[in-house]
Amino acid sequence: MSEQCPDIELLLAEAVEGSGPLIEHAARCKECSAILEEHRQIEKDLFRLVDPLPPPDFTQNVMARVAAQRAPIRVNIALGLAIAATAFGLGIFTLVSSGLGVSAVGSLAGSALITAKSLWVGTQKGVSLLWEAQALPVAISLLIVLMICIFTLKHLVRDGRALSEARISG
Amino acid sequence: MTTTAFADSLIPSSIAIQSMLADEAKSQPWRADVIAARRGDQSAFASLVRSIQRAIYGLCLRLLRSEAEASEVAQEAFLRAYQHLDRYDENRPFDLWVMAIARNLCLDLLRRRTRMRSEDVDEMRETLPSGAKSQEQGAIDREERLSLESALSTLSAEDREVLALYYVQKRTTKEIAQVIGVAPGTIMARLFRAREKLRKQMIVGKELA
Repeated sequence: MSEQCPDIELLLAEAVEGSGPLIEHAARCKECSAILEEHRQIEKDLFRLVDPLPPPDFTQNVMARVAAQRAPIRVNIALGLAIAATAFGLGIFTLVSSGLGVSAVGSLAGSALITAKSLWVGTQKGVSLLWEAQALPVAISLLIVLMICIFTLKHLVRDGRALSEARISG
Repeated sequence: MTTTAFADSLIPSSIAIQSMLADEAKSQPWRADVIAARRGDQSAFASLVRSIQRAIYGLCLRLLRSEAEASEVAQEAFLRAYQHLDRYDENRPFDLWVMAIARNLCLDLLRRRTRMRSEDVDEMRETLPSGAKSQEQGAIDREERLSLESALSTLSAEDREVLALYYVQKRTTKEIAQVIGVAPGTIMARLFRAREKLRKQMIVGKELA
């Protein structure tokens, strides 16, 4: 390519548009027109390539792996909500059918509130004791270690067939 | 115009509704299957797999140049797509979404790879076909195809993927940009650069031959 010849990228960009000063130059310049022609030929050859067919058992293998998985999360959420709604409905039904009145429901709610309050007070006392004994950092550290262990274990179980194990790398 | 006639004119006819639904199904053929698959219908997901497996496997093979790895990674991509169906935006083409997953998996694997075995290239040359029609028409012969595939295999994964998506899969620059995760305006420049490298590589190949 001579010094006057344009940058190949600019020439190709203009070739897409179809006209312009660079194309006019290419029409006069043997080297540039040869490059453009080679690009056209490569494009023609590339357009004739097609994707290969996957192995015949490809879909079957994918579906076998899908079947081994848990259902998508949305299904689990829907299932959870359905279970919660059924349980709530059954609870109300049991309450009504057992003949308990509104006052009994009120008593139950009150007792649940008292229990929750006691639980809250107990938790506060526990944290306070941990704080006084300067054991809170240790407790938090242990909790973090425990969470990491559980997460790692869960991750290992979920990715039992880790991709790296199945890869045939060089 | 009476009130009833006016009200009727506001309500689309059943033909119009059917036409609208047909248009939507045409523009988003994966939508119904995705919704069904989210509900746990595995046959719907199998249908999705069948409809796009060739494109996904093809891209994996172009990037990885090994049948076994391409099959494994493409399967993994579908599995991850199934696991994360809830995150999929239905307005985005399903094939492009899975393709982006497959591409990321391929690039991860390529990064981990230390070197490519030479037999992989030979295997790939024998594996990748040219179009059946073009074979019938005799438009590109086997030798030319092998020389093109050989030159393609020397390019970087980034160059190979953009060429494969644009020329082999006939994707638009906008679609390629979605898969690769770059601005659509940069795709053409990438294509020119990749094609120029390919041209130079083919000249070298011819000189060596």
